[in-house]
Amino acid sequence: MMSFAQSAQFDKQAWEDIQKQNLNKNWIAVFWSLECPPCFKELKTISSMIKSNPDLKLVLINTDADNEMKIQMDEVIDQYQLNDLTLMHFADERASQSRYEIDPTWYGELPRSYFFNKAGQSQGKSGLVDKNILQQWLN
Amino acid sequence: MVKIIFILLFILSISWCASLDAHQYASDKTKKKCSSQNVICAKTVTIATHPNGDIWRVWSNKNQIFYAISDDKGESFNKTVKVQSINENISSRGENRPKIAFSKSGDIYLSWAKPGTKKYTGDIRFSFSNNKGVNFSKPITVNNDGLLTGHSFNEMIVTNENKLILVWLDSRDKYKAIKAGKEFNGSSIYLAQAQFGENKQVRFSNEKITQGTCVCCRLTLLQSDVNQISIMYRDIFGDNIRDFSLANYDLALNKVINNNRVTFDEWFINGCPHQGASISKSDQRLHLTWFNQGSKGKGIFYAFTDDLGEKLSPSISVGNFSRQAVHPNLISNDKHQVDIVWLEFNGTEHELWHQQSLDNGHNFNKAIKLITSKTGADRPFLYTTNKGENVVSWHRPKTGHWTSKL
Repeated sequence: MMSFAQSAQFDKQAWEDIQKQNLNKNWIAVFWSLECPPCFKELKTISSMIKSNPDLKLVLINTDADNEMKIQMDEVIDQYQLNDLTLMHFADERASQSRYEIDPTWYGELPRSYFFNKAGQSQGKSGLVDKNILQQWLN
Repeated sequence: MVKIIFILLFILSISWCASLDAHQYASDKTKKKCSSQNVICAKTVTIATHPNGDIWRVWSNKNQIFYAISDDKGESFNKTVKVQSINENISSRGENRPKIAFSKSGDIYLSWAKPGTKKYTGDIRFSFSNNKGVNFSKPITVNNDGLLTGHSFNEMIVTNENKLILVWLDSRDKYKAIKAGKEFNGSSIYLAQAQFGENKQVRFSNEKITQGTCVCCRLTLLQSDVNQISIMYRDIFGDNIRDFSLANYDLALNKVINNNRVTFDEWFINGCPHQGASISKSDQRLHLTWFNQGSKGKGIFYAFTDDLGEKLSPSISVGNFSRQAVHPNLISNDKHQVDIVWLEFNGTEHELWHQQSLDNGHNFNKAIKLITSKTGADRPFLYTTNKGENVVSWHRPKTGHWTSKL
């Protein structure tokens, strides 16, 4: 039987809470969508990293913002064995609102990653991120 | 004869759904009880002008395609009709949506991308009606490779010579390259010309236009001369610089005439921009608009070309980049009017913006905000009525479909 991931609906409060919880750590937020083929390469990379480090400080957030795609999203998370990460997804039809709360200079391109430092400051990057860069930041 | 009319009336009566005027619906009431035929529950709406002057809007929901016809240039639409012969998965959100076009004699053509069983696979599908939309043919597949691979982002036009043309992003070359152990970045563009035979048979040629294109931005297609079409698409240059190219194709000779890079914003991204371009033609001039986030250009831009993209006018910046200006679309007409629309976001609402040129793209009036949405926002599109008026069409999921003469 498949065990589905427990993804929480994204909102401003939840986003602020995650940032507070991760203060004093280096961590990464990765945004992905079912409609972004390159994102799946990123998921595969993250999946391989979890195997060697189950305590990976990485938050995975789906941007599809479509309740009808939620089952497919859960299936992908399950397929790539990403269930142990902190998972979130944008609420139905609230992609722009959610993006704006995270970063008004992000225009929806994917995958999108935010590298947070111990002081809670972040740097955004669009496109695939190399495994070495992810590992370096988290070590 | 009487029997046939009776059967037609019966078909019509069971396929007509409740009359749907977008303006009648409040957003909150429908949130939990969206019926599939209700246009406000759709993610996208496609709109086009029939040769008789009627405006058709098309949308899909839960494996079905629906249409409604307006006889007042798109101000109001008659009853919704469900296309009975289509019952399959239909890509219809973001950059993907069903397409509609008409032959010179008024036959109705529908095409869409049908997602396959495996992720990022699918086919380009086609169905048509030669009895004013009463019946549509059983859908057939346009791509002829028979491969379980990606075929999506279909565009469709009928040329002045009455040729039905489709283009789409096609992964067959990538599929074959990977099978052969070779590297392949991006996708390919294929083109089909339809041949209608007797007994309503239709066959499609499949011709390759180019390869190594971005995989997740819609194409834009128009007729640029006699028996000639142009496709503006997001290309990949070098190491994942994703700027736009304009491919020009001769339909009589079946070959690419030339293929010019038309934007030089140098957007480096090994990922998905999800931002296609838009083109329109007046006289011999092609008007172009696009979005990039490159090291040399950020935001929405407009430019024109009089020689199929070999030379371009200096690009003009459009919209407010710091207010999330995205998804531009444009249309021009014989009166040298060029209209550009795009979306901005103010933190809580989506805003539809408009800017107009009355001198064929040399100067533009001040941008104005047309309308907002507190709910969803489809990409805005434009159409021309048979009187040559430019009209904007914007679908706001959970609020309604809206049109306005520009």
